[in-house]
Amino acid sequence: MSLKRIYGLLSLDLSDTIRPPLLYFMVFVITLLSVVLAYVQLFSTTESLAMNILRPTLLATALFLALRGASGISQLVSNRVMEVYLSYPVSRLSIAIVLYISRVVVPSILLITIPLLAAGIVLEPLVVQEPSNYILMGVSFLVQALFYGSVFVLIALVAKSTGTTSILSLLFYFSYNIIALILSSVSSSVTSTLFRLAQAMSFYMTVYNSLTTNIEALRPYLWEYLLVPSLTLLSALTFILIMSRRFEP
Amino acid sequence: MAKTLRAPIILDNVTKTYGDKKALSNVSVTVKENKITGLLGPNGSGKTTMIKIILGIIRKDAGKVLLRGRDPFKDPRAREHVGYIPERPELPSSMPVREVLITAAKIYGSTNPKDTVDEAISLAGLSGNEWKRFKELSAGLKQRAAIAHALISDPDILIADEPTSNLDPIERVRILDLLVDLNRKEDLTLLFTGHVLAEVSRVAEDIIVLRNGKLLFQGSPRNLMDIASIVAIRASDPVKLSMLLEERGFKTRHTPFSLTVYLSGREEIPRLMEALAVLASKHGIDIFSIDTVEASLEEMLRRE
Repeated sequence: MSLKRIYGLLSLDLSDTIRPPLLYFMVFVITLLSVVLAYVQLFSTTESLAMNILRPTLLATALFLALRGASGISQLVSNRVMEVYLSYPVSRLSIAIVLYISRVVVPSILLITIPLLAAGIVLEPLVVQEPSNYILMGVSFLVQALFYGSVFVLIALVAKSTGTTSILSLLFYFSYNIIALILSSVSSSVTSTLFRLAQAMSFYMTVYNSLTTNIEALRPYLWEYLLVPSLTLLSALTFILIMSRRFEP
Repeated sequence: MAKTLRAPIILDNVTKTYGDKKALSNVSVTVKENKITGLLGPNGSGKTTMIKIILGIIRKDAGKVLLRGRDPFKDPRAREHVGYIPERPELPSSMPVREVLITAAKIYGSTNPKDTVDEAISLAGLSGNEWKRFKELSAGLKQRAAIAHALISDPDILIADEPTSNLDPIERVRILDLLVDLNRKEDLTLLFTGHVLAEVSRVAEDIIVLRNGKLLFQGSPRNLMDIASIVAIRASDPVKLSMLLEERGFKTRHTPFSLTVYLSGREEIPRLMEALAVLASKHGIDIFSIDTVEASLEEMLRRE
């Protein structure tokens, strides 16, 4: 399969995903907020800077992935552009990968890295002290965004309707975070399994704890590192598998 | 446009089920090379399902499908020189139609996408509108944009699902004539679907008729007319005559003033004439006129 063909399909689909103004508006707003936050708030570590910048950014990313990314896939089905994609001489596996990159990976990278870079430039003296930790925090948020996106596009394949996909995706996002909050609240101590599970449900918390905790008992276990990345991989592979083997528009 | 391999479309015992409903049931057809084939049938007869299976857009449940000698669902190379015009054409509106076509030409592997697109735009009659976005085009121009999109694959086979639906009568004729021209100039194998027998039989050299997912007929339009003979009779007592003809095994419908007899072929006409002569004299029924009429698809399907 020619890479040129796959690139052509990717550019065609990306033109829809990143069409103005939604993505540009969101990137502008969250970057502006990140820069303002970097100016007005005092940060003592790169990890806390990344955490404070990227938490609201993650919410914006999840909203974009639900409302434009995943529901965009449903829209491709409802307006029959998906049939046009499937009529191209490109394998279904390639189409599935292209859709995943276009609808999940690219928007996530744009929405996470641009504010992170902007805040990093503003607080450059702080970031250069531990640039690897700053990057690791960025990657951990990116993985969390990919997790949400992977679940959302899976929902889109089943729902096939723009409205239903948006609603179910947002429902999943808020339920997931509320469950994490409840688990955290009902756990008896910070070393309990429930508390660890609540923390592990947000990959960036696991990475943050790993980078900032010196107490051995509080350091994350291996399974905490693996939880969200595994779920992300599982969801993404399920999406690609359904799309390439069973999906019918 | 340069031609490479031309191959027919073959469906062998193809079955497709949606839930409890069989959309296609053991359909076997062959689309002939360089011919215009019309696929006819009422709504829900399985035409679009068949088209989508041929293109590999959906899976078949059973049977065998070959598009240019390959399984279109598993092997994307089957679609390399196949143009597709969907029932209600849609292209991305995120960029002008010309940009969409250039990108699509790259996907089809064109070495010179701009020239390919210019030629397709000219052939499809879209010139002057190519810088508009797809959603800004009228229904007729959308159809032409879809035709241009289908042509950039440098097609050996062009598959059009109801290419004239949602168009006014003048535009219907124009679009069909355009497809016929393409078939002649570019040596395309053209498969298109439609509802109206007269419209399809005007251009098609071969006709496939589906009903309830089953193959009713494949052959020339002439043969289709032959099997679809309908006789209209004006008589003094059409109700009684209808009843008497039904007793002799004819399928009829009547009004207080006339009677329609549905024959399974023109060879049944002599038997009908003989029956009419006997019944008219025996029961004192006056027959004023007997006319054979061209069957519409709907009449033919009703008779089956």
